[in-house]
Amino acid sequence: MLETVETVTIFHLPGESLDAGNAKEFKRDILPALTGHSQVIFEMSGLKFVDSSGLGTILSALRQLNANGGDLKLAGMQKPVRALFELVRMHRIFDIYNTRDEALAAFQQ
Amino acid sequence: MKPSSMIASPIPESSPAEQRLLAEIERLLVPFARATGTGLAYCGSAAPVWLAGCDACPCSRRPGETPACLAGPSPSSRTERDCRALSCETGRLLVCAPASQPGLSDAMEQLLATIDRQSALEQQEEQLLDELSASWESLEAVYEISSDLGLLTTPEELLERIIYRAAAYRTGLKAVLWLERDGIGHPLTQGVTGLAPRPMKNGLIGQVMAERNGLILNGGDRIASHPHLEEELRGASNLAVAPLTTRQHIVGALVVWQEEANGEFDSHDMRFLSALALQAAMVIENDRLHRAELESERLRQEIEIGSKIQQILLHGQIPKAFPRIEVAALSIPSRMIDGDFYDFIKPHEECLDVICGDVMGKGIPAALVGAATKSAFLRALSQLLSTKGLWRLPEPHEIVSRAHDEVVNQLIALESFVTLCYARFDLTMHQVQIVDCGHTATVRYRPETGACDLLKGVNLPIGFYEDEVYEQRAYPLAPGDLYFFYSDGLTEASDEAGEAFGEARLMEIVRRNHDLGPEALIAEMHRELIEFAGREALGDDLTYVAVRVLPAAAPSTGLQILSDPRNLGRCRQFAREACQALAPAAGEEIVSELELAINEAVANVMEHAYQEREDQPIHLTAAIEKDRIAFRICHQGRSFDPATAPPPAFDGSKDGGFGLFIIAHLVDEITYDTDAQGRHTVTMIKTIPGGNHGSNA
Repeated sequence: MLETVETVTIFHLPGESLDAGNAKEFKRDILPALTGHSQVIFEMSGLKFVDSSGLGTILSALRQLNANGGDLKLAGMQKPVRALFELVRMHRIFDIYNTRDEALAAFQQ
Repeated sequence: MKPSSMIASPIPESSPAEQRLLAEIERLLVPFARATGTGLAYCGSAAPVWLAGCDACPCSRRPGETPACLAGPSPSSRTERDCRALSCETGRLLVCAPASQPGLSDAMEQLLATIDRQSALEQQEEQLLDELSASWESLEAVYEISSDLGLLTTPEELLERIIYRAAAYRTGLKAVLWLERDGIGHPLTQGVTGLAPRPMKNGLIGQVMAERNGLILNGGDRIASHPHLEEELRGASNLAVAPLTTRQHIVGALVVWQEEANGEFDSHDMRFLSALALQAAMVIENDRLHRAELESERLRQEIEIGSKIQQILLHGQIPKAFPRIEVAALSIPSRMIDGDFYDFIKPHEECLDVICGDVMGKGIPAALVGAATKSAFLRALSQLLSTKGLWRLPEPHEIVSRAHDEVVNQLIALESFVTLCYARFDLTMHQVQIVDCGHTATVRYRPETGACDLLKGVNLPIGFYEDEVYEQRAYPLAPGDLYFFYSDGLTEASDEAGEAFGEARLMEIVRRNHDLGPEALIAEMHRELIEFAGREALGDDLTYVAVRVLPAAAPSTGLQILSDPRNLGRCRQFAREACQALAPAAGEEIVSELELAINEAVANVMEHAYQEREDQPIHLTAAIEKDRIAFRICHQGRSFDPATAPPPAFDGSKDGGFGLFIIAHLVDEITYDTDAQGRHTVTMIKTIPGGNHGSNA
């Protein structure tokens, strides 16, 4: 699911969980889809669960965007997902917003 | 080079048990190890030694050299896969598979198991012999004196007999029995001359009497330095004093000492002396009461003394530390002591022997016959153990026959007999072996049938017939099985109308209360009896013994999956449901944390232990232990050393490597174990605040 607001591309991450069982598949699909976009938001409110592999794929997306001068913001994390990001200190690496609109506003400033 | 020359020289100061173990290792293992290229090392009381070299693992050395890997901590924590220690009581055995093989062969595994079992058995046997000798020495004295009861009539003769027995306890002993009357001690002596009556108040013996506690003094200097030492004790190198106590009074003291400086006294000796002192006090007290013709007081005293005898001599201590057997016993002495007795022997922690007996006749003589019979059993077992050769426990029928041989003639002479039940609960054999000698029928409850039945043997009571051959019966034993032994005081108790309590009522009460546990069952049985009889005071002694094999624990919650990462969702669901079932106090945050921890750990197993193969077995279990929930993940993949994992990159430069860090922060404990079959288990434990949910669910 892809949504474009002006220059910003919003990916609504599919499924209820992003774990070692579907992380490879997700990575295979998302990385090519990012090409050509520089301002990207991952809208994550549908994800109830992310594990370290899932987090790894999101990291690889960030690195790919950064390498091409783009930026990634994360929005709408459920509480357990947010807890994982904080546990491994990834809240310092990612720009994390409570909602899609807050993330959009941050890009438009 | 002969194998024996390799073993003997490097272990100069090993114990007899260790030497026997080494001899067994040499006989069973070394030839096989050398033939198959398996490495074998023993680490015992002396320097570790290779018994057979191997070329498989880095710690390999030649025979006779100290293996490097034995110098470190337990080899089980090492990464060399096939090195493992086998726990023998006297030392550790390290075994390395040959290079050509992935692991130890089945034959080697079996040989190792044999060695391990044998060394454990031997250890148990030594302990058992120790315990037995302590018990039967005390009982021995009582036994001899009780046989004299029929022959000797005067208290003086009985006291002579006691002091003689005390002096004969060990060669070179001197013994004095001081009897106090009106503050003056009167000596009865054995091996001592020149003692005259004297005041007892001052001096060492007077001190023991005042304190009412036995005293042991070892060492001539220690004794000589005592400020108020009696003259005759000046030359003693070791001494022991036991006070003669009745319910209200101190009536004297039994003193033994020796002048040669060998053989110190210990608590076993004190136990023996106390048994003699109790006998002497009983004789004196009976005599005093008899003279005073205080009939009612005498009876009261007799009960008092009788129940003391029962406590000390007739009723054994319940052995502790059976992981899977529960035992309880209760004895309620009546006005008329009638010589019920019971005892327990613990051959090992999966095996319990119960002896319940009842002497025909009443009063103190019956109690003493009971004590003597019990003594004969303990001695029979002890003798059979020491003559049987290693590692075989004598069977109940052998023990009963041996004890019977010893006491049958005395019992016939005394015109008494003993009904008895000897039962062995052997969990390793899943069997109860019972020799019933005319005792009350044993009540058995089995969860399998949900009903009780009565087990009755065909043997005559002990003391009936000299040439009796004792038949043993075996019954299958399963978790939850309950056995109830009792004296005839229970079934023969009658209500006001004269109806007997009877076996049917007994069985029904056992059936109804089978899950209470032995102690509560006995309490309930006694309550029912009092209610039935309509009175507290029953004519007979009552003895109850209940033994239950613990019911099998309910299978802990478990999940079996294949190592396909798409199964991770099921693992999380399992973690969530297990939390809800086992630890309802766990809040959402904790449940989420455990979901993540289990997810990460299982994902690690799939990725690293099974190298991303998706068709391998993984088994998850959950159990609650008090306020801690434990998740176990079992697999048969590669073992995993967390120390070798690279630390996570917190700067976002790497996608992976967070798993262990995450787990470590979410659970309180994580451990990695490998069993003998090469199965690995990852255990994660987390405390649930406010959660205390009892046993495994």
